[in-house]
Amino acid sequence: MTSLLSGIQTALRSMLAQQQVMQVTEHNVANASTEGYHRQQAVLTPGAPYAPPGLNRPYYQGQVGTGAMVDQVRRFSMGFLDDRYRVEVAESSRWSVKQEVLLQVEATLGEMGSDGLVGRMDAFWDGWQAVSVDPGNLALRADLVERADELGRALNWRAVQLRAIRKDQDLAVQTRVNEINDLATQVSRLNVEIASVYSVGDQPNDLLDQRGLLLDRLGEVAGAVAHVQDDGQVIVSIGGHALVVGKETFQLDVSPDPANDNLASVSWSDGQSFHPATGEITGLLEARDGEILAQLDALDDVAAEVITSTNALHTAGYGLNNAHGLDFFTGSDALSIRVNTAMNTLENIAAAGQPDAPGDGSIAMQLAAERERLMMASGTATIGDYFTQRTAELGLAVQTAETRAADRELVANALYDQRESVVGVSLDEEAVNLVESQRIYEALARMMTTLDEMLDRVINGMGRVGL
Amino acid sequence: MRVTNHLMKEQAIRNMSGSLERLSDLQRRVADGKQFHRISEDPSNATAAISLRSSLAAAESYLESAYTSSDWMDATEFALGQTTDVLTEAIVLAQEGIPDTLSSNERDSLAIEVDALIDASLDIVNTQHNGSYLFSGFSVHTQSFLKVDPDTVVYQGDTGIIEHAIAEGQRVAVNVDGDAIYSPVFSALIELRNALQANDSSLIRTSLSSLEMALDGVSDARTAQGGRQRQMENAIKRSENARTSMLELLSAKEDADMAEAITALAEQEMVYQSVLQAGKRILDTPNLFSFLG
Repeated sequence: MTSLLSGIQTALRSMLAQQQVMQVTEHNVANASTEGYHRQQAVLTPGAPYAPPGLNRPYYQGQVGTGAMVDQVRRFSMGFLDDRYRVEVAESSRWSVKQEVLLQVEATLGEMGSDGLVGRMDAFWDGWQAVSVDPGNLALRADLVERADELGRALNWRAVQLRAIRKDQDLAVQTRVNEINDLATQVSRLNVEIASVYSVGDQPNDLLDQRGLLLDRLGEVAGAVAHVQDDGQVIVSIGGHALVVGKETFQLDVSPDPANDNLASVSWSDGQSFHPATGEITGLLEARDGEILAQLDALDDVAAEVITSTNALHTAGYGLNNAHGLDFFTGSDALSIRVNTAMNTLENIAAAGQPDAPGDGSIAMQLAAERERLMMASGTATIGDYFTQRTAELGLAVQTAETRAADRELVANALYDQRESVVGVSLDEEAVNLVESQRIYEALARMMTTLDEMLDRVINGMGRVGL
Repeated sequence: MRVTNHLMKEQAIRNMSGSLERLSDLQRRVADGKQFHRISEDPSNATAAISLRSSLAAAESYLESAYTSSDWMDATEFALGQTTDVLTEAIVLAQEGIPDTLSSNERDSLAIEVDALIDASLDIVNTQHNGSYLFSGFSVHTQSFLKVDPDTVVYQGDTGIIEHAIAEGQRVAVNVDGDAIYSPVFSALIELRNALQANDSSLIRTSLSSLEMALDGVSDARTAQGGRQRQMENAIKRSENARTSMLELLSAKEDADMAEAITALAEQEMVYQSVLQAGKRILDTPNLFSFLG
């Protein structure tokens, strides 16, 4: 036979279990909007039953239950969704970072506006054209010098700005490297804590959430991939090189690369080169060493060609004062191109093909015709065509980045939703759980009261027949 | 699918910002009437527009030149026309001076008239157009002819032929050889005046044929000039047509279809309002806790 006292113990045990259920519910509600939180559930299990001892034990039916207990606090998660989500977020951030950078480049080049470089070059050649039909006119020459100055300044400004944007991306790369190192250290610390919690048979639910968030961010920054080991620790790697193994981390180093304008070159501390396949840092590196560099090179090509072709014709001509052999431009690239200060003496501008010929504009006419000469890309494009082509390439690169970022974001969002749908907290559910636990708790309390009354009857009421 | 409150909130935010972004795009399109604002919005049309604008700039610059060249040629033509008048007048004077009945006094007064014509021709040939002498070749800052003494008028220019580019690869000579055209004019006029002063009717007759030859020379130059002027006018007409069609093409490439853009904007405004309303409801959605005592 079981005793009445053991009934009270059963009720107590179950009431404590229900209290714990409510505590988990409370935790869930409190973290309903906490980033990275995975909902938890107190899993109830019946207490270990026993067979009551008795004289007629062999024939006694059944075992007696001992109420409910919390077996474990379960954390809802879907590991494979985490992995897929991180891959998509990494790709989406790679392209959206790249898009942001390239949009800056596009805005700097400003080819759609009224002072695009193609427009500046047109204005320069128009200046020569105007001089060619009225070579003796000093006002037209002054206008030409102004236009040439504008062209030079437009090239200088763009070269300076693009270099500044490159430098900005370089700083961003260095920030990301520091972040990766920092995240890796935090993950390794959590690895240790998590493993020790598991080793004593507990669930490190909130620590797992914390580490999951760090891994999400590592995926976003550098496309890091995580593999969970049996002991609960994760191995994290970027581009095939380990970043975190258990409590060990492999740090990234940054050093200036003299072959690349002293911009940062990233490598592993063991000397291996760093090759992230995706993530923000990939987008930054791609923009820094790809598109921005290509646009800078295009500017330099254009500047160099304008300088050499203009000077070649100009040195062959004669000014109004018979000045001969003067360069029109000085410098050699987009950063250094300037109008030769000698051109401020307007008579020095050589429009004529022969001395003492103020009415001869043949050199100016040839210079104006340079706009139609196929002088770029080994004689297949005019300067205007060439630069328009480079601009189109940039536009396409921006468009590609934009499309990819948007596409990947859609997928990432869908996966986020799917993940959230499993691990997120639903307030309605929690309300139901809360009410349910409350009712059970009340019922258990009633049970205890009943048992108490029974004990009261046994202790105080029995054996008093007739009283 | 299991839906959580957080999920609904996230989705509401996503919908609102997506809708707002489309609204802002459309508003910009309607505000400035352009189909795109960045090259990356439509790389192929945008770069086509850049190329077109560049060609347009070139065409306009050639047109400017062509107008200038045309003015120069008109001025030349005007001077040649005046010279024709002068020579015709001189021929009339020569014919008046031929009859033997004329006294030497009468011929002297005719000679004075011819002298006036020589000065008039000098004025004509030394006309400046925009500060340049028309008939001095490249030496546009040098007076074309100088009267050294009553019997000598010398050419001070050179034989440079000034060419202007009036379209891609098309060059036109805008000046005429002042020496070749005007030297015979002056020598014929001086010959006539001297013959009149010499009171010699046979010399006058000889000078008459010199005058006629000089006039032929001027007429030939005018004919040639007329041909080039026509060529120039045709080029201008072609350039103007090309400019118009390029402007149309440019507009087709980069201008927004306003009717369509405005309709789309109105539609998007409604969509955005609905999204906001839906968002408000999501935020206002009660949960079970609201109803539990």
